[in-house]
Amino acid sequence: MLKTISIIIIKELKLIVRNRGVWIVFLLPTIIFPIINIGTSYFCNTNSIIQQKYNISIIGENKFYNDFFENQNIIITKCKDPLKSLTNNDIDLIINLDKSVITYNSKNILSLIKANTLGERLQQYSIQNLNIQKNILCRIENEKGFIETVDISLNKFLMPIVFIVFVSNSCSNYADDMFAGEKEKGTLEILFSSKLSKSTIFLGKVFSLIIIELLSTIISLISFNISAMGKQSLDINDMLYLFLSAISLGCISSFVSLSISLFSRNVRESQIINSFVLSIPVTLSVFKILYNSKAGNWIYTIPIINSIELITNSLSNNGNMVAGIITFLTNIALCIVISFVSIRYMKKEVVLQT
Amino acid sequence: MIKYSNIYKSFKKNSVLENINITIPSSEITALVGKNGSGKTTLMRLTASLLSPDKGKIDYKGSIGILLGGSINLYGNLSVEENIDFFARLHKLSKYEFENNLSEINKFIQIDDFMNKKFNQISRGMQQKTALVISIIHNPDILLLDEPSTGLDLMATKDVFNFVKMLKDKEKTILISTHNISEIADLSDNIAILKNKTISKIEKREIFFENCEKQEQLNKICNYLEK
Repeated sequence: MLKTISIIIIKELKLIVRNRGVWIVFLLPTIIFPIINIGTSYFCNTNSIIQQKYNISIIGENKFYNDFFENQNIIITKCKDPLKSLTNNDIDLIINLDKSVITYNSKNILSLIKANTLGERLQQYSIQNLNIQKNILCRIENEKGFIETVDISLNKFLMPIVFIVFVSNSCSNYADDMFAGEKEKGTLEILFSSKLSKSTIFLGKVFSLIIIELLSTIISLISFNISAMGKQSLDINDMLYLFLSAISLGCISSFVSLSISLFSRNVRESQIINSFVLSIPVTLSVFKILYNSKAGNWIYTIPIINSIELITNSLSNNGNMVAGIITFLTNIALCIVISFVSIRYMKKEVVLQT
Repeated sequence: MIKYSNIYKSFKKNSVLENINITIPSSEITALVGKNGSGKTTLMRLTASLLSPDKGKIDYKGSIGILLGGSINLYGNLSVEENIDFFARLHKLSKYEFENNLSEINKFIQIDDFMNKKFNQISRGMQQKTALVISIIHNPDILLLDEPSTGLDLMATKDVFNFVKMLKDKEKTILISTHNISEIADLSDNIAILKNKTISKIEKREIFFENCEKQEQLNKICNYLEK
């Protein structure tokens, strides 16, 4: 059976590689990530914003930060109701020193950018003055809480969505061709007439998709890290968590899109259903980023959502090993269930109907 | 030998085949004749297990090779050789068996000239030849040919005829679904007429065309189908 699966994999890979579209899947991350990186760097970190005055209100007291606020271009405004002042755009930010959070006005993009910039400067100040080494930056950030509320940096805001779009959609076109396309051409009948088992055909096709998914994910990771040019690049652990979450999400999308292609009557039908279904992870990731809720480790047991959570966290250098393993195993378990159900209902008569 | 016992098949309450009880003789060529839409291809697909009968069963011994009718499509981005090699591997043919079978086939069906061309770059006739080679590359005991000469020029049709005759000499059981009078009158040993959703009997060609001049053979079949 393994030998037959490998024959199907080789055939499918030959067909995919000879399709010019596959090079777009591979090349797109290498083009898109640098463009996004340069673009967001320009809009979020320009000198003009750093040099601007920061009109802030401070809640609580922490002497450690006194020098910071005195030496910067920061105007501290005393307000009776800081939240109301922030809503009215009378001030840019509220810094709560007791809770170590920065509050910004989400309707004011300048407030958001200033919160991000000031947050980063506060972290740098904390690290420099406490003489803490850079490799424990994440822990300090979390303790101080600045990064949790204000980070709109490249990694946390835009990249997870782009990453999830790449991962969940890179293989759907090939999946459409694999069953629905072969059904249209009539080659699936010839394949079935060669007395192959249903599971051999399904697994051969799905593994070839996973290989493409794997290559696409690796290229995306490398492109991301190179395009970050050291500024926001990931360490080896976060790369690993990101890889585990991305590849397991990619596996789910491969299994789902292949199953849809299997039961679709033609390529068009498969494309329509796949584009709808594969937009679900992207939509969920947008919600996750807009409503940045904190959840416990239990969230990593929910397939798809766990990948979104881990991709978001890994890109912010907040991934963890337990989450990575749970996410990977849960998603692979879902893939096994999908393949079992698909093979179970993959009756020749149903599959060959057009 | 292929034995059809009480075969019924319908698609969405539209009955296509009813009560088929026939036996296709071993080591002979049987022509399956019928009007368009009479269910010839459905019967072929049932035989190759691409469809399941609603009722009844089909018994046969040995392996089956099938050439499906309609537009021939294989993997367009693979070469002819890669297409043939892929299906040969699926049939678990060793490299020696593959090369041996291919050279045997090549004596009758000339495919050497376009073996390295991509499938979507060759002519309709070449595609038909490739599909025929794929259906027989694993040296099956039973061969189902659905309109094998469609799209072939005269020379290629002659090649296919000679090749089918050679397969018969090798004691293969061959069922040809066809509208071509030459395939019926010159190639086949038996004639099975599919009419009113069933095959009432299989007759020897000599008996079917008894006292029938060559130019009257087509009329005889048409009259039989019209009755």
